Amino acid sequence: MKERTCGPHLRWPAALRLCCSSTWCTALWPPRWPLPGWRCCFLQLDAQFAGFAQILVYIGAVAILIVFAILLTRGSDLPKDGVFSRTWFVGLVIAAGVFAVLGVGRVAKRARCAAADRRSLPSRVHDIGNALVGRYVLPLEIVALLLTAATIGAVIVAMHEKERPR
Amino acid sequence: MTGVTMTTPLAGYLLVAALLFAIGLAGALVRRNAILVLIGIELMLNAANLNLIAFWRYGPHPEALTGMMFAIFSIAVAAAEAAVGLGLVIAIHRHTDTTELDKMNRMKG
Repeated sequence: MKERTCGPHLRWPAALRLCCSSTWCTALWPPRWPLPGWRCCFLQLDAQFAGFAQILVYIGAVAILIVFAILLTRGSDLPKDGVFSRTWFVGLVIAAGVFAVLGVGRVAKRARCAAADRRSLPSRVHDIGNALVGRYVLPLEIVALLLTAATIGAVIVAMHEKERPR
Repeated sequence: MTGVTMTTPLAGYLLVAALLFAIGLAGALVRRNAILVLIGIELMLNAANLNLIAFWRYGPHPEALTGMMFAIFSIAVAAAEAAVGLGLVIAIHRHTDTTELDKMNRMKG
């Protein structure tokens, strides 16, 4: 039980090690390249399916949407008052405070008490597929409906409006 | 991978998630451009996903796949949110010719 807890001195080195190194994805990645951020956390947590789904969704869909949105709106004027809002300092203070509360205070304190199953789980894509079409089929259908409605809604919202007769 | 012990404690993942959430929150609060604010919101959703996966993996029943399912559905909701948000940004840019949030001060189209 003692090795399942983590002392306060392990928090920051563990987080840095999590960002800078990994297990088998380090072997696949060129040694001098930085690892692609927090996506490797999914691999270390035996959630390969969620990690690769996130990579596919964000690179294949969200990044393309953002690029198109930037291209379609780049004709706008550059902001005269700068790219930051007038209350940027307050925003930074709020973000730093949230990080202090989440990272240093409550979350790390609770994590010290969390009992962790340290054995890795085998790959379970087959189980995920069975769960998606079995127990979670209704949420899957609802999410599919939501995605369809969001796509149609986004197209309708962004569609060019005809000039209304005055 | 069976039998290999995980060396990173839960606090490491939670710290990375907290840092990611704080960066996203700072991006959402500090920037003027609506697209960059949306990117900040996406970062915050990613932090929530990482928390979901970490708590599921370190929880008492990781074989139940609940956290994994929650994260997958959350990714789908994040994609839908990005699509609708960017569609709104494009529509507002068509009307007001700007993407600055300070100038979007009326609801009338």
